[in-house]
Amino acid sequence: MVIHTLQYPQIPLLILGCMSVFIFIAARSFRISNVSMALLTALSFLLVFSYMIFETQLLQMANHSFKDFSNTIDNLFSSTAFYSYEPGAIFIGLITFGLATLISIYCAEYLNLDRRQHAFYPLLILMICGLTGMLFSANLMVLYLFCELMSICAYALVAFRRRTDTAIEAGFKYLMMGSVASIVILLGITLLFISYGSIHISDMQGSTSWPAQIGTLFFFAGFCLKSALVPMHTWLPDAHGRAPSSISAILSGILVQGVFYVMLKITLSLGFDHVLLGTILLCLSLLNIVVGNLMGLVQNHTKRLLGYSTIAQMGYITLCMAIGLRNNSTLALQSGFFIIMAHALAKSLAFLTKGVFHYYVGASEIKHLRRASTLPIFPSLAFGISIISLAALPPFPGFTGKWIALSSFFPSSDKTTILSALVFLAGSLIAFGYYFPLLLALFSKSQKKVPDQKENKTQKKISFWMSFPIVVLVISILLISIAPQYLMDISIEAAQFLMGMMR
Amino acid sequence: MKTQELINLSVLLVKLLPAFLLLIIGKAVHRYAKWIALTASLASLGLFIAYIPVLQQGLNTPLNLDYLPSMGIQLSLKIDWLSFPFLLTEEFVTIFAVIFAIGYIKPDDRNHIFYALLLLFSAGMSGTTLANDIFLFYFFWELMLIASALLVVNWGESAKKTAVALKYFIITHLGSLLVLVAFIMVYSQSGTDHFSALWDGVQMAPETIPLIGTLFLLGFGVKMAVVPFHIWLPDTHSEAPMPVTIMLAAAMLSMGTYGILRFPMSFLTPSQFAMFTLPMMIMGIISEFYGAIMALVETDIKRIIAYSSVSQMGYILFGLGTLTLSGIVGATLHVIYHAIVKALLFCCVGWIIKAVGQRNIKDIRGLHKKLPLLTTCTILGALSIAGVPALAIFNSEWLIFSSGFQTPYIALAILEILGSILTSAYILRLVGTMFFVPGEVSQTHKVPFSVKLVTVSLTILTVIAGIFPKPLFNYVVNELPLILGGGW
Repeated sequence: MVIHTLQYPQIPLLILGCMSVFIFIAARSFRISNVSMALLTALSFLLVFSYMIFETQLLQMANHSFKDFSNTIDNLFSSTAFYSYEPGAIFIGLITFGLATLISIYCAEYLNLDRRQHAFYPLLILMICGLTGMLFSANLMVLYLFCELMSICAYALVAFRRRTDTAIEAGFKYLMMGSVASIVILLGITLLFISYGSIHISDMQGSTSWPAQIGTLFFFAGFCLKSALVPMHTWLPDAHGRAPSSISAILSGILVQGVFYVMLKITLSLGFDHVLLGTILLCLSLLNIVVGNLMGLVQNHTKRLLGYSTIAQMGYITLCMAIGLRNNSTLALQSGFFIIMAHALAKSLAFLTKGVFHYYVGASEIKHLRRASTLPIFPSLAFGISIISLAALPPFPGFTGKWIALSSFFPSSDKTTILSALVFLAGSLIAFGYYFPLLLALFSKSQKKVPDQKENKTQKKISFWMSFPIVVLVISILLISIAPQYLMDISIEAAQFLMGMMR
Repeated sequence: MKTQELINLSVLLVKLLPAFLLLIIGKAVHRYAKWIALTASLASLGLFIAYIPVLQQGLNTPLNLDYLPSMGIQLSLKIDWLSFPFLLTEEFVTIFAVIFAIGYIKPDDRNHIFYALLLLFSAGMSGTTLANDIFLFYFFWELMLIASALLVVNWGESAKKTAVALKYFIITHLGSLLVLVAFIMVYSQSGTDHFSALWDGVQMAPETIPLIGTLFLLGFGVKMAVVPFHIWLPDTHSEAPMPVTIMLAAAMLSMGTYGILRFPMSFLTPSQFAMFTLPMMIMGIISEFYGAIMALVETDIKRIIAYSSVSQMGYILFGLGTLTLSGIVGATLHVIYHAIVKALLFCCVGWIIKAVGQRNIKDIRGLHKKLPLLTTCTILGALSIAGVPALAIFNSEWLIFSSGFQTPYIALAILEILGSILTSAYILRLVGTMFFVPGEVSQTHKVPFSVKLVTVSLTILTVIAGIFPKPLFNYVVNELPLILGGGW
């Protein structure tokens, strides 16, 4: 078995922190162009990405146990603050940095729509830094700090287009709901600290005292809001619908899922009963599937629709994890990780191509998508691929994930499992009601001339900075559709890690 | 990899690759898109015909590719005698549809997408029949659906096309999901997705057999448009552009039959399958009557032929449901003959619509004076679908009718035969009104040569297939008895 360890999780955080400050200062003092800022950002993400790959390959044989830290020193750069053996975090971290690299390259052209780019890139880097810190932190205080770092950057990025009222509204809503969640999380951490007398996760096991239990519950509830589980999802469609497309791509693609994973891991290691946790998550996930898919049907704004689709997909991911926890099934957990990966690629691809349509032909509503026929066909094809993958049709990874998930559900004789599998299927059927019009709008003929585009006859060329990330994402989706076994091998380790957390 | 294994793949690739090429760089070559599509479909048929000797020598080994080894999923392609008639039908229909489209579809700058989707649609169908494992089967099953839905929505004939395509997509996809659930239940009991492993010996838990069988039959019943799952069919068939209608009616409907033969009938033993025979026969008769009655009262000529498909699928389901050799062979032959005749009838309708510009039966009168060639073709097609001897459909109908009397349910067999009277009624109404009721259509337009070519060649094929049924029968009957014997 390949063992993925990251010996020094502090290094990515250091790199990211330094780069954000550096880019901000450089941008303010030398007025460097948007392209160079974007490339610097991409470079820092790429650096971390390659560091993670390099480290995990290098230390394949080293045996680190995740419980393997003493609880002595409390400073941020000691080994007690972070897990070093954390395959799940590495799985999500790799997706995060891969996506973040592509998205910053994409911004080199896309962000020409906006001003104040010098604030954008440091915020993006800090947001990713916050997520990474959360993923690896082994200490509740560190976790909280990084969670706040991530959230605050996310609020600012959602409201980045501050000239439009809608963006301000969405950012404000996100801020208000996110702050409530943060307070609840902080309260939970305080209660846990009261009952255990320590903030290290490794010290916190199995207390049955009421502050510990209430604390765990508060912690869980706060993170449920941050990972958009229905009925605490209302901020998501607004936030993802109004943020710049590149930000929506990373918010929808990996941020929500990353937060969800952290919640799952920490709640389990706090000694929450896994069957009970599974049952609660099962209920929430069914709500997610139903609400996300039904609300998706009535949207006419493409990005809001994709936001509701994220809610539904979070439902599928949560469902897989919940079934895995309830039935002790590694395969179900594995399918959860598989769907996270498939969804991350497909959803970010959808948002990025949507950004292309927005940038070149001003398409924001679904009916405007037909203007895409004036563009070269490849963004339309890429959008089609992402939609088909999201709709879980073969041969794309979305379908493979669904197949693995269903084949882990159906052998079970448990009625609840079978019933939730049927809800899964019904949800994916309803989802066609909104995915299909998207496909149709793309491939149907543009009926009128686009009103505010004068030079409509000559075909527009799509900038390299925008097409490169799209092409990379399409290729990786195709690669996973051709050879899904590799992804299975990576995800099994993460799944086994979560299994090990159950007590 | 041996040559004969590669042919499995290349039958598909010669359609898939040009389709993707046309989609991606097609704008530059959209004038030649039709010729590319025609060449691709001819090449596919050629490769398939070249494979027949291999099949006769029994050297048809599957082509296997590892996909998800840890889950026991292996992609596999294989041609065998069960898939042979369906693949043959599908290849021929594609060629006819492409030739028909060359004259029928007005050239514009989105031609390449039309032909690319047509090829994808066709590749979806041949892939479904070629697939030798569940995963690949489902992939092509969905490809077929997506491509045809996109064709309907973009080249549909009226303003309702989006709604119709959505209805088609959702209902048919519901069927696919039922099939998917059955697949996953079979797969999770056997741990493999390979057909041959499934035939060899999956010991199904006895309590799941009724459920799996029902899911399969319902799922494939939607594709076959058996009443009450037929509701997508009349709308879709009348809305789709004529070449797509030809492919939908003549080739895609038969995929449901293939699915029933391939899955529930093959890997359940006849005794396990016996519980489904009576419901299938009854559903078959209901479809037959319902389709025929609806065809009698419809006024849109394209919808009349569409309802006729519902009725004909009833015959096929009845034949399968008898679970006798003549019933199954009859049903399989009926798929082929129905494909020829239905393609012919839709071609005739397409010709009429092109020439007269009307679709309502009340507006079309006295065509026999103006269009004698069309009259001959339509009459032959109509006689054939009414089951007149020496024309194609008679042979298979004979087998299906006779199979009914081998079962204990003689009353059903008699009902089945009585139903064919209604078939004669609606087709005579159609032909009689359009061609022989006195009256004049205002004017006739010129009809493209390709439309005439396809119609005439299909007419000739109908006659030949009716007079010389033996070669086809020999091919079809090859492995079908195995279904009844159990095991492969």
